[in-house]
Amino acid sequence: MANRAVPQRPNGQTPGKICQFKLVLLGESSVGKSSLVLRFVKGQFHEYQESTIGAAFLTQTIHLNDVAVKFEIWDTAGQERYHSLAPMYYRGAQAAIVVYDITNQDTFERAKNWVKELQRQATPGIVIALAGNKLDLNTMRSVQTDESQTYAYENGLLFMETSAKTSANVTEIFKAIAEKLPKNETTNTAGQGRRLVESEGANKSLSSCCK
Amino acid sequence: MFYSDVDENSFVDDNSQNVSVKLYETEWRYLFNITNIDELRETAIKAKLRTSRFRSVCWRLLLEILPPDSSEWLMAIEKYRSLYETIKSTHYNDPHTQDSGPDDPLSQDEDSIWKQYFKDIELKKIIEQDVIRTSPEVEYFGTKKIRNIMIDILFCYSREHPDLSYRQGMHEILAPLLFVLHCDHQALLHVLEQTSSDVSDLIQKILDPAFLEADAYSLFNIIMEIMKDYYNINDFIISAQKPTKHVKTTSSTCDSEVVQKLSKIRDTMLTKHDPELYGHLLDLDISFTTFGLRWLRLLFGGEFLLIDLLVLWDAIFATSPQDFALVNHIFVAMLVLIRIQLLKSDNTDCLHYLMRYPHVDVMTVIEYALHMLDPKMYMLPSVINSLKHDKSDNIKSNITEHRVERPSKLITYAPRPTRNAADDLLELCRMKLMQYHSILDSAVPIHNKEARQALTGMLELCGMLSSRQGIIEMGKDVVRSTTTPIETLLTPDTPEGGPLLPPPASAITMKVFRKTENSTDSQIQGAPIKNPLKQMKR
Repeated sequence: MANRAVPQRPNGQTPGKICQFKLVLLGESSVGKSSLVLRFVKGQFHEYQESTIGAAFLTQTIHLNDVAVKFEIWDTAGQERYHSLAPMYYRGAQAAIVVYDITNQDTFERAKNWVKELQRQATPGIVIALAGNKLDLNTMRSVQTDESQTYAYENGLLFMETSAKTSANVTEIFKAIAEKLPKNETTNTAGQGRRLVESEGANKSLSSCCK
Repeated sequence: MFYSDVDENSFVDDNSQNVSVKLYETEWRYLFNITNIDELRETAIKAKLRTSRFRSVCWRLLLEILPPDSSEWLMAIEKYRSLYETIKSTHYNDPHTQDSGPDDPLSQDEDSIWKQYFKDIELKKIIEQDVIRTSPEVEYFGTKKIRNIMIDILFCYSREHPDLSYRQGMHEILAPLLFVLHCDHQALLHVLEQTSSDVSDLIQKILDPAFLEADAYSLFNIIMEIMKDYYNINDFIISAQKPTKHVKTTSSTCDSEVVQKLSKIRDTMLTKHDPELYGHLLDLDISFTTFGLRWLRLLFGGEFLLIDLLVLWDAIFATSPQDFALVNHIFVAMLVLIRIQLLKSDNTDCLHYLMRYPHVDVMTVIEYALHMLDPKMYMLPSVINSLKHDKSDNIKSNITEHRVERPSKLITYAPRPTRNAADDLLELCRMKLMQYHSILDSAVPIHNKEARQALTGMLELCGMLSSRQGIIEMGKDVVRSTTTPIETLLTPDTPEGGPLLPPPASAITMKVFRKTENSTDSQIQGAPIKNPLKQMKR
């Protein structure tokens, strides 16, 4: 674990390169999307997390070797009735985490639909990770690891079982995504100002927006 | 001015209990012995219901659940209560307890009681998922009783409106309604505890805690009637589209009424009232749907502290009970109030501000919104001009430091302690203090910041002195004085055009709350804030 990514303050050691990525979380209501993000961004967990209405927007930076990877995270509402709004959030995303609850088979089926939709509609080359959340409730499991593992392998997804409650695999899944995202743009340094994703149209077809 | 009618001598009298009852009834008479509902509207718009013990009655009157003539109130309220009973009994059908004839649990027949029964169970599960996550920091919403009431109300509403059914967010419209009713009930119970029979029968019937659920339903139902467009989404299933190589999913996939409304706010209202900000947000390609959907669906419930939110709702219900027209203006006012921050920000930082709206003075929002609605009737708050014309950093526009964590919306539900002589003394002190506050408040000019702060301090003391029982404490207002630099041109406590009404011996007390979490470098926008001390409550 020598090379483990740790969330760091952006005003810490200046890395050589900053890459910024848009990441979206999708999945059925109450599977733990907001909790995963809260654990990743703030290291906190709440037994009862307020329902997300519309979406929440968060940022977090992790460091991989000398590259600072800044995630702009869109945490979406889970209720299926709001499905038609999802494209607004995954449009232009370079990465997605599709979350299900390992104690609830229906949420896994729903996750598969999200994966299908992303593969068809989202930015080509989008990095998709599948997260089987609530690993702390392992004794109540209804989705077997093998089943998800196989599904993820067949569909080219990153896969981890996570627990926002115990923090198992939470940083790890974001780190795995960061590693898989292409960071091969010109090696600009961070000093060149913050020209961010001014227009979603400008960068969306590229899978990376290193500056 | 609920208190001006009260005999001065009664305060000198040691019998503080009589005073409480008198104050209570005086407030009632002040609010409802009116010939013209416009007077009540003015009261509501000027934030004078902030500490009222009859807000739930005012809302019912403003929203026309209660007719203007108070002699008809009992009949009206009984009608609504029995209507709810009927609705509830219609939708609570347990086939286990009745002879379903040829119908059976596996039936796929549309009319099958069993099929409906299983669908209802699913629906309740979906509702419950949100209900149990309603304001987790507030114990009141964590009780089994309140959770069940919320589930029943939302379930009945969904079954009554099958086209819309239940949608996430509705539970957060319902929660403040229950809370306001509950506060009024508690205030009444408190007064009744002090006197055997002096409170009028009408008050007791209107605020009968036994009808919390039915009364909350009628309020919720009438509010949702106007808000349902915000919840309607054309459920356009993307996956039904032809799989093309690279579909640009544009807004056309969800140009529902709420999205159209947001476009209208942007393209006709913001562009008129602040073309510079309009252009800036357009240049940055900020979609109004990303943040506006929540603003509208929760009727700004996610953007304001509860105690400010209720004042905002007072104004909405008072000004435009038919269509909530003020909502659009509030939306624009909220944008303009943070224009300096937005104009300085890039796409990401703008989203941070909009997805997690900073703390602003709610009275300025209301006053500016009213001005846009009716410029002849309502003056433009002076701070808006400064915001638009002075671009220096000196103008802070009543905004607290960005990224200050918000305190939890409202705080704890304290168990009832027994009342003793010390409590009575405290209560008397508190009322005297409020009386002095009231006198000074009308005499101290708004520009005398130090004196105004001292006045705010007096209010804080009133809150701390409160020993009242069974009470919801709200931490809030006072937060402004701990987090705001001395910028409070207009504080909610001192609405222009009228002196402050001191908090009555109501069920509401205030407390000072400070930031509980250290902010980190990362920012959470739109994510709910928790009080970490209470997160593990059962």
